[in-house]
Amino acid sequence: MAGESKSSGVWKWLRIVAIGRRPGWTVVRLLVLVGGAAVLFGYVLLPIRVSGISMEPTYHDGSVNFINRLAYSGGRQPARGEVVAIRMAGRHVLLLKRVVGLPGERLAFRGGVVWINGAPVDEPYLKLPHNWMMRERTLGPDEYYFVGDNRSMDLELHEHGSTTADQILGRVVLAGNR
Amino acid sequence: MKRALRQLSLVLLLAVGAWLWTVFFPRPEVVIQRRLAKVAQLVSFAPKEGNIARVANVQRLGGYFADGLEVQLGDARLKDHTFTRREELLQACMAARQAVAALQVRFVDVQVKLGAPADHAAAELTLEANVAGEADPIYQQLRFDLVNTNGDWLITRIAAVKTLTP
Repeated sequence: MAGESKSSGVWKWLRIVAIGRRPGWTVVRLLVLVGGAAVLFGYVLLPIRVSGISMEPTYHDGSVNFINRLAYSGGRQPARGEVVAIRMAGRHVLLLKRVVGLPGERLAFRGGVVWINGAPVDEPYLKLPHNWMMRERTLGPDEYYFVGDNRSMDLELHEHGSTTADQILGRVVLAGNR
Repeated sequence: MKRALRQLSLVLLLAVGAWLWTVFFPRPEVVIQRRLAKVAQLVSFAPKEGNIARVANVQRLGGYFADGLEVQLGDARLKDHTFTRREELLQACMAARQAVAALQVRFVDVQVKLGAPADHAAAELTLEANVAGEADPIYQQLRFDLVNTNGDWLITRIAAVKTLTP
């Protein structure tokens, strides 16, 4: 009899641990948790996996990060130096690039360094050797210029260039290697 | 209670009917998405693809393209090309299959827009290609133009879209 009572006590304790004292409320809590996670990670903080070497050494191939889709809501504009995700055809494959040029600015590459309006930009994230040269161009009124941190690659092999703010999906959450 | 059950059954029946309708009479956008997925599947090949399977897949692939297909990849290494005859396209596909050991192609974020004449459509998508021996996949934004010919959506043009303008 005592053994039976002990086993039923263990069973009751396990049941409380697994589904709580009130199973109905546990289900509600679970649904809220699942729904909240789906909204958070589906629409606000998009999980991404970095593929490729164009953001080396700041972000490594295969590393995991998040994109904050609300970073530029409420009229906030991307700032120079921020790392953002840019849409391709949709939101499942994104380009991860750093903002280096802002609307209306004159931009050029000299010795691998970005020059804005005739002056070099301080770029502490450039760790690899770089020697890109690109003639000066003026960005349009809604045009931002993006480039990766790995400027040791050939300029032709590195995807860089300008697009409009509406193509930016959001800002990277986790800072990379500094 | 009986009335509520009857109403619930009716709603369920209507939902099943609506779902069956979309299965048997899919919207053109869905038809195009399925055809593009099939193209990606036929373009892909495993390392040990047999000769018969290779020829059969390439022949089947030809059925998805119109004569006079234009391919504009906008890449200095890959010249733009217009295939005036379907056979020319098939030969190019066969040559590509011999050039690399294996290829896995996937079309991601396919967005289809029907044109003003209802028999024209355009699809924007991101190509993800894994080439055997290459460490990283290739990603490229592409635009497919299609035309409805005798009930089949045939691809008339493939063009690369620059995500960033250099």
